[in-house]
Amino acid sequence: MLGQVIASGLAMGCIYALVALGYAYVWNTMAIVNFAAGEFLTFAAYIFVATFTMSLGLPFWSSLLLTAAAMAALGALFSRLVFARLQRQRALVAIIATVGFGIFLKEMARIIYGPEPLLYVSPFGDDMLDFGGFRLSVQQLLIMVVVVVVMAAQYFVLRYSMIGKIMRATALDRETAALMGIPVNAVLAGTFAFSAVLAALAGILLAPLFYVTTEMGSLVGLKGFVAMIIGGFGSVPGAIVGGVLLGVIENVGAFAISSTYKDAIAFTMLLVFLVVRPEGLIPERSADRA
Amino acid sequence: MLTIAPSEPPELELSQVDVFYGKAQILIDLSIHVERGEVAAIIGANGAGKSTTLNLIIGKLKPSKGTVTFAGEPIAGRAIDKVVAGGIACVPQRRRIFSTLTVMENLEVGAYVRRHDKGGISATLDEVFELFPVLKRKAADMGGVLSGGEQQALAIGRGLMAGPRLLLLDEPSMGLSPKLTTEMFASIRKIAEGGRTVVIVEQNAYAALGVADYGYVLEGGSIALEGHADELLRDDHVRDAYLGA
Repeated sequence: MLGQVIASGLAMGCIYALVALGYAYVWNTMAIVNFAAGEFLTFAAYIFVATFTMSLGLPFWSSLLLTAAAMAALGALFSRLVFARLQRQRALVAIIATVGFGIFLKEMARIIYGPEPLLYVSPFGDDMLDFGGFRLSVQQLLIMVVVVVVMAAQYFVLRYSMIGKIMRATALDRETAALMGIPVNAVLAGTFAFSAVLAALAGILLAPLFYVTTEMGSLVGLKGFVAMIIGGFGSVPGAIVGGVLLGVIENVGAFAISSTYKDAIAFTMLLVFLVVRPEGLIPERSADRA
Repeated sequence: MLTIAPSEPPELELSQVDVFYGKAQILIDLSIHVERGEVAAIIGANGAGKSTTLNLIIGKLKPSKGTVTFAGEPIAGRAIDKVVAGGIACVPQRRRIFSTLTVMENLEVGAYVRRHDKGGISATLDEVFELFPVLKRKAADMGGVLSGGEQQALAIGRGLMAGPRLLLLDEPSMGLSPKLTTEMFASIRKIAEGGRTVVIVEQNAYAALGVADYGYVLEGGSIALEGHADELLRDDHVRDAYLGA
């Protein structure tokens, strides 16, 4: 039974890790927290389930790709239209704009898709797979595989590709990056689009586990933020470790104490970390922010 | 029939330029003329408008009056990436190395505007490594761990990687020992001898005029004095105000 609890904690932790990674990317390049991340997740789940799967009847993978593309476009658009205008202001102004954009997305989902929760049944069924006593549902396995692939891909892109290098350069020193002829605003829009895609993946992967509602992303968005703080603010490996750890501990804690306290356990973890290790488990080296 | 050979336009020409920051006028009726292959030095005190002049050339600022031309083409008001792709690179003040990128990655990012020109990049990389062998030895090190002199070499190398015809240098001697400054300026001279035009903005007038062909003395946003570098080095006003002699 405990194996089961850990498995579902791992799966949920992978979701938090996706959201946390989105926060870390946006924080590193723009020095703001995108508080619309949870609502990006909600909106993505709706267009994936209601539009691409139910209305258009598309298969899973095409729906996933179309949803990712739509959310990337939305993220880039938000960055270009709103953030680009606010970046000369204090960071707080841009951060509040993300809160506002989140409310906008949530209400748009309600207006477009209605207030009724949607039920999405995973096309992969609910079979359990046995890994030597450690049992995983197909959906949980899918979540882990997608997250591992995304994490590996982002690592290699960031480390070795020209896009990754100009992203890191832009994150370190926007002004000097611009001096090298790097299209800084496009890099920022791309980063925001990528974080929107991460949230979209989280929404798509969560859809079969919960009902799709306008509230589904709010708590996950907050917990992704908690995961980033636990891992180390703005740290990419920290986001991954923090997410997985948060998922497992809240699930095991809920199992040991009571599932009523699941969310309380997650936020207690935040408080404990803020007191004991505020820099997080894998802090971003201070040299990174010159 | 008589044909008149068109004379080559100056590599860089600023003509009667005014630049404002808000209401404050930083450059006043400034005119500068740099021939191809020349090293020009712009010297002056803090706040005289030296960096503003470079920011204007690279496209960070727009003049409210006057023209900026590069190889005969007006460039004032163009976006920075267009200016850099067009053949001007700027080595910023205080070096501004990307600290958690390796030396090699810093150089690669410098070549962003011509990322598809693999041959050109590899030729320039050889040239940069020949000019500053320390960069080759430390290619895999993080930019942030280099010494001041090495970082200045990297900043210049990163500027060269864009493949510029015109290289702008903002205070390359800042924070360097006199010995390193001499070495750095010798390297800058070599860069010019490779066929590039170089504009140096410096507080260290002695070092800059020592390698320059022509010099401008910037005071309060306008040119107080200009002339051949060796003449300026002998000029009484320059000696009193900038050479501490």
